Amino acid sequence: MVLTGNDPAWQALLVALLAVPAGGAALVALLPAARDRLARIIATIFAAITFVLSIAPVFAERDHGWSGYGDRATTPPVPWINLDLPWVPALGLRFHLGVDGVSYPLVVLTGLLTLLCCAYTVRKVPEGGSGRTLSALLLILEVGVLGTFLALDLILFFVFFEVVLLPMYAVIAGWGGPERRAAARKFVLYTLFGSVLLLLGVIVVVTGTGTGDLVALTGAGELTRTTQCVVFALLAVAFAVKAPLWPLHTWLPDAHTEAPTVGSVILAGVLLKMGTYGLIRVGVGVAPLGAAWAAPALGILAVIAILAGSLICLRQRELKRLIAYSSVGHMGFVLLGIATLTMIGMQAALLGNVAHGLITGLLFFLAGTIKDRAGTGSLDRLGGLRESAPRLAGLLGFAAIASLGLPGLAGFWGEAFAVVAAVRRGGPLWLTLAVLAAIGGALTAAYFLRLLRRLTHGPATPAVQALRPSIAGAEWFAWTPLILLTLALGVIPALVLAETSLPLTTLLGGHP
Amino acid sequence: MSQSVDHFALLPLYAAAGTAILAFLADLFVARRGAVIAATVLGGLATAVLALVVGAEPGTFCTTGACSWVPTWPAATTAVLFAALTVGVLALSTPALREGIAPAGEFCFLLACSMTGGVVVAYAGDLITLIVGLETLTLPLYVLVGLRRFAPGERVTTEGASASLTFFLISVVSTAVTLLGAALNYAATGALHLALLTPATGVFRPLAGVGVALLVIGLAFKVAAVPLHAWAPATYDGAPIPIAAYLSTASKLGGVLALAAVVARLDAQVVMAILAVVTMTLGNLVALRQTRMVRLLAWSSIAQAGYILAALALGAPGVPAALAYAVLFMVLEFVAFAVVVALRPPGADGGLLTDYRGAGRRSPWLGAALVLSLAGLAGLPPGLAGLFAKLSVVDALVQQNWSWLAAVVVLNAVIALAYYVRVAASLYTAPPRIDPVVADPVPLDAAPHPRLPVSRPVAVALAASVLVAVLLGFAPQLLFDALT
Amino acid sequence: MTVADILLLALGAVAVGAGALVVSSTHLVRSGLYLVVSLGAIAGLYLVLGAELVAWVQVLVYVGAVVVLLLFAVMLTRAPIGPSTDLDRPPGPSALIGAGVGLGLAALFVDAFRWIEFPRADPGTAEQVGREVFGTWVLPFEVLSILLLSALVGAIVLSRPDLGARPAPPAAEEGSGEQEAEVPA
Repeated sequence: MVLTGNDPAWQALLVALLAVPAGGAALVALLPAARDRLARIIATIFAAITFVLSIAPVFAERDHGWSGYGDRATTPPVPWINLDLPWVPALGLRFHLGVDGVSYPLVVLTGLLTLLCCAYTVRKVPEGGSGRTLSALLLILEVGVLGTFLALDLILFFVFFEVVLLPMYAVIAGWGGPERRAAARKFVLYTLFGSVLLLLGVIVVVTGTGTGDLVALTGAGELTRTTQCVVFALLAVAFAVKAPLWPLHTWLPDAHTEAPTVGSVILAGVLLKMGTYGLIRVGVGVAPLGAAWAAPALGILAVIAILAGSLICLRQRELKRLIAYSSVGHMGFVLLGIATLTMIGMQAALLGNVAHGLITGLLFFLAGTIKDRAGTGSLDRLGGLRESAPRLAGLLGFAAIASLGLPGLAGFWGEAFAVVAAVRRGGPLWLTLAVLAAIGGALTAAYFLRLLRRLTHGPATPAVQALRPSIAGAEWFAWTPLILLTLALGVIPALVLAETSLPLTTLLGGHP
Repeated sequence: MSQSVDHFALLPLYAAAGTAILAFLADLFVARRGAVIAATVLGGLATAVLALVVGAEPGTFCTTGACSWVPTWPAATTAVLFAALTVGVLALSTPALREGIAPAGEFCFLLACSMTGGVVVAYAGDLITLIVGLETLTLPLYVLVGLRRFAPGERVTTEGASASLTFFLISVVSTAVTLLGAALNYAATGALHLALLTPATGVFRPLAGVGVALLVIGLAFKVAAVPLHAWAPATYDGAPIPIAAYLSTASKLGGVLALAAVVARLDAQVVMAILAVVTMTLGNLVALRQTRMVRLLAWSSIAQAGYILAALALGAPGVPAALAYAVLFMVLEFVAFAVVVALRPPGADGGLLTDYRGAGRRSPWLGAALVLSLAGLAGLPPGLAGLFAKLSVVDALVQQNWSWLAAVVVLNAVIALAYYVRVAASLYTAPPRIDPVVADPVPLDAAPHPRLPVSRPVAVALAASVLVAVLLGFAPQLLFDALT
Repeated sequence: MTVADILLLALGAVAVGAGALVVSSTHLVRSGLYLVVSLGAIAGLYLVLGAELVAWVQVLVYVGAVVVLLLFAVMLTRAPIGPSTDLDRPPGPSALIGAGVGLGLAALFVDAFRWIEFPRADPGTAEQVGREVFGTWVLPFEVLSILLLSALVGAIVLSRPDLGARPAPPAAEEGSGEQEAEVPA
């Protein structure tokens, strides 16, 4: 039996991707306090089911034919699976879900990271509340993020974009470090500011074109140039807060430092991707002329982010804060790739996205573990990890080297080819940006090596000597997939890029 | 000679007025509190059912060209909402009535009279009926705000009385201003029926303009728009909590309906836009500084009224969005007040924000309901109803090319989140660790904050309203269809 | 200027002047009596305009009922008969606003109507008023009955604390009874 993309079985899969974690969250939250560990295990099972479901779409029989879209200059992006139901016609909102080559890797990444975080929570619940509530919140976060990646209707995209705000606030404010309330409040206010600008941009587009359907809107260019510039400006600020892009990044270091380990992993691994994905899918897709107009500014800000992130990291004395600022730098490379508006740049951005999710997720897991066991995250008090916990030091070294962009590991492709794309774009501005980005890449290597030198080498400090060196089964379970995928992606980038050329061509306004 | 009357179309009015009389008679003949409350609840439900049964009909009490009683589907929906809010507030008042805080018969009678006024406002077809209905909605509330019996030996407080007096004085001034505005408009155009209202032309334009402005300002008092908002926080705080809930929902809905009727036909865009911007901004900024729960809810509802006024500033195209926002806001606000009633002793006032610290851990369901309500008021999931409300207002504003006002609305939503999130977070704060060696903080904190049993009527009202909020969150199209 | 115009201006001046004296006087009873004058002048205005029924209803309801009620309330609550020191709000701002609004509205009316001549309407006899009320305004007339009933009930229940009064808690009597029983033993 050949199942095509519009077959009800596949459409049910899309709905299940959202319904299973939601149902799991409800079930887990309703379990009594005495069954806390059981609840966390049930949450992990639901996350595992969702992960398996998220892998499935790659097997959908894809219809590459051109549908009759009449007077369009470009072909519309054809999702692998398409589900389109009316929801609130009065607001122009349709329940339109779909997955294609651009969103599929992110969907799998979300499923994987949520599963790993739920598994990690089974073993260790940070102080501040019950473990089952934390697991339930992680599952709700998964619903929001998956919905954002699967949504093919602009207003639906906005609704799911909003879903993640309060649960993430609750995770940081409930289970975080000493300054968690202020960090969480900063996070939620900043992000809502971005979200409301997204709302304005989305409504302007829907009002201007009469439809919210991303499939119909991508590359169609029905809006006037001025409208597109205004829309792209609004959307760019909104996604720049989320991504984050310098100078709207100031919420990130506090949020990452104060969040619990699983919170940081989800925040860095998945939530930040909502911003860059949104910029690609919604920003560039719906307002290409606006994107072309704003590309130089975006490129400049991206390079400033890379350099600023690296320079600040060189001076950081706190472990999680350093990794947070490194995220700013990495996202700078991704945004530089997007800003070039070339095929290579976009593919570098997509790869960089997934790579950052895997590597920084692993880094935050490790940093969180070290901080919990040693009791401190301050680099002044940590050192000589290699002597007392060699395995942990080795994993940290692997993660740090992957993050600084060693060829053969996942991080290399995003950084290198963003620079290549800028060079290929040509012109004095882009060449300068490429040179500066390359310098930023070198600075990235500098601070990560400095981190490794301080943390793993040298005499063992008292905090590190008190650290328990053995790695538990749940922790191996959480970290191994990330390690293996980092290696795999570094060697076979086609895992992410295989099906992206067709949708990206449409996004960039060309013919296949 | 006299007007023809279609009694079928008037059934909701008969039911509402009949409920009031029935409550009175039940108190006279049966004299048992339970019977009186049950009679009023049944009457309220009958009003809602009859409003849906009547649906849309040609109007009655007609003169040439216009009618005074106009049954339409939006009118039926708002009448159902008035009846539901009355029944809900009665359910919330039951614990207080059991304690004897107010005499049950008169209380139910006055609440049912208020409901009758609301039903009249919903179906009104001319300015006089509208204003009379609005007065009938508000006058019993002057009494209900101040109505409190003190047990012998209990300290007599004057909070209720002073709140009542504040409310009364400002309300009659605003009614006078409204009537003056209606009179000026009549002098200029000669029309009082809504269907015949048109903007004046020629020599009478300034006169009609001033008339409309006065009309709008007088009605804006009812929704507590700035600068006529000063009564709201003081009155809500001094009134019993269920009556504050009624003021915040049904009384405000009456004002919104009246304003919608006027601005849909007369040009009041400038006045409304100014009122909207000032109301939203001031409401949100002052709410950030509040320390008492009911005052915070009052200031937040002032700001929410600002969003409704922003939609009404568009005139006729903005009315469906404004009504939808009003309905969704009412449901969420009622949930918030119901949780406050459930968390406080019967007959107590709202208390300080610090009294609610940790309440979410002590009573998980009540905490979840309050979080749902606050999230909805902020416009975020899980309060999807509130999200769709904000969406409809912003959509209407952008469609009519008033994007600057849409930008003001969304920026105010960001300011508002600051205090909603503060309250929601304090519900789940763990009690402070005074001395870990001496005392375990959890039972130490539980002693001055006993978990009060939630009485059945309050629980039913809360559950029903949460259910409606969730339903409207997932299927708001039902509401949008009912309002067109 | 016809006789009617002169009468209108004179009665209007009396009404406004008496109204100003109502709010500025420091004697409570005098305020009440000035109110009688003001409302009576308005009744006179109605008469000049030909609305006979409204004029007599004005006298009957406002002057006869409302003001008498006011004076009874002053008597029964033992309000101060002489000058009252509580009424100390500075008159400046309110006088400014009141005068400004009044003059503004007057200017508005003069600008809008100028010397337009309207035909004289039928005198407002009982038959005429009845035709209006029962021909066009039946609904608000009936709804007003509910408004008035709720006002009546509300006023009574607010002013009579014995209606629905809460009984003394019975535990107090038991406690004192036990104490007395224990002492002799």
